[in-house]
Amino acid sequence: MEAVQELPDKELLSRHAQGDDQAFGVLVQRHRERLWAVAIRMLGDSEEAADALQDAFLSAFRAAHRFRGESQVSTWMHRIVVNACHDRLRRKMVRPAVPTEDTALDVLSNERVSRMGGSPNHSSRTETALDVHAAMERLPLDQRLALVLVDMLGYRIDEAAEILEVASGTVKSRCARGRAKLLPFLAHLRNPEPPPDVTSGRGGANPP
Amino acid sequence: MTSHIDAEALAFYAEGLLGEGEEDSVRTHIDGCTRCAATLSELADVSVILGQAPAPPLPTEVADGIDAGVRTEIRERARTGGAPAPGHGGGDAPVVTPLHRRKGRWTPYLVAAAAAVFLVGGGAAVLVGALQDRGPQPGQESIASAPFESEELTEGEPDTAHAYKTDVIDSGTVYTEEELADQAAAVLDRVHGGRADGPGAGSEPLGVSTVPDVDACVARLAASLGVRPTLVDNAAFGSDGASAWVMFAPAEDGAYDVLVVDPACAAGADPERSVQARTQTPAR
Repeated sequence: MEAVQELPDKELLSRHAQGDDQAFGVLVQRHRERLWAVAIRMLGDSEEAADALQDAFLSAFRAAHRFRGESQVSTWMHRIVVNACHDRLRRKMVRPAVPTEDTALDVLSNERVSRMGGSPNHSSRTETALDVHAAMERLPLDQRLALVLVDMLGYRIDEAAEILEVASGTVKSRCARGRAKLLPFLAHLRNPEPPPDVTSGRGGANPP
Repeated sequence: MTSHIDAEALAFYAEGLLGEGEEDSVRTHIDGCTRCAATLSELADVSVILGQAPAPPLPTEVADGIDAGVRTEIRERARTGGAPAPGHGGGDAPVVTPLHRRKGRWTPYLVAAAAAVFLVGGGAAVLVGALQDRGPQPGQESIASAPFESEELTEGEPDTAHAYKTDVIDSGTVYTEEELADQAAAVLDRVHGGRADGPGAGSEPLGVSTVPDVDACVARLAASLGVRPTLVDNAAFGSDGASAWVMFAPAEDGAYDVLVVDPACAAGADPERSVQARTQTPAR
């Protein structure tokens, strides 16, 4: 058992594909925290993230015999999770019940105000998470995925590019576009007091 | 106002994505413009804010659920003989071959899961249900959408529902851009076939066709455009009657996204460029 714990990922996956009953469990334990972090930041909702993660591990379990070792097992598993999240997000986005941009903003600001007892001046950790997620939800999926990996989770550009299966330059431009779009929505989370001459363009709820 | 640089251009500048000339002119501007310099620093703060956004740790019950799911899978695998189940095309080859043309082509597993949700939730049930009559076992579609731990769902032929295969028909239609939506709806009606009340009732049911490599193209489209076609009509398009794949992807409310795709897609052509026309059938 102890020996199994120390095997490299590729060996574990290959043993699993050959019928070893323990190997996959070790892979799960090794990667689940990191993959959870990806899913929860992409989906923003614990239940959705849990479902996506389960779907992803199920797919990985069954697809192991197709893994050809061209990438790291970890990258491969990330891809599966990213795609599971992507599918969920896409389904969510085509649902008609999704509020329009303006109502989403109203809900957001009302929630913040009510939770803060009418004083929306300081953001607690939870509210920061809510605000950031609400802002991220406004981005096209490609940009959101890129920013989750690069800015939120600190993956290198080339790592994100491999996970997302696009060129590094594409990851960079998706990140750049996403950051530019997020700018107006996250301005209230910035710590430094705004200089007097730039107040017009920031802190507001509406994009330019 | 127009003299300032917009946030996106500044973000591109920060990533070093601008061409040399552009980059120089942005740099010169920022040096003399406090407002644009401030925006640039705000963009850097966006990354910082994103990096600091807290997220809950993996809940114990989620970890336990995954462990339980893995145990169930292992038991099931032992019961069915251990070997990975082939796709419903029969044998490994038909499924595996297109899947490995490019690395990372495991996507179809998840595509199958997504399709199953459409099955449960929408009007796509009619088409996919009809198509599955001659393929997978009845009830199989519930496997992919079911949570891990539901053991009863692994009866029958586990795993086979997870292999992704697009159904191919040969309607003989020559599609045109102008009439694409109507023609697509008519073909869908014929696929629905047995529906006595359908506009296409009475016309002959469509036979199943096979086209080499169509799955590779479908997978490529799924990866690049996010569309998940479940049905492909091996047909012709335009005034010159050039061969084309007309793909149907379930959308909301029983509508279908219809894409006319150049078969060169399978040979590695840029999937986005191989889409020659696109429309949507009305909701049902």
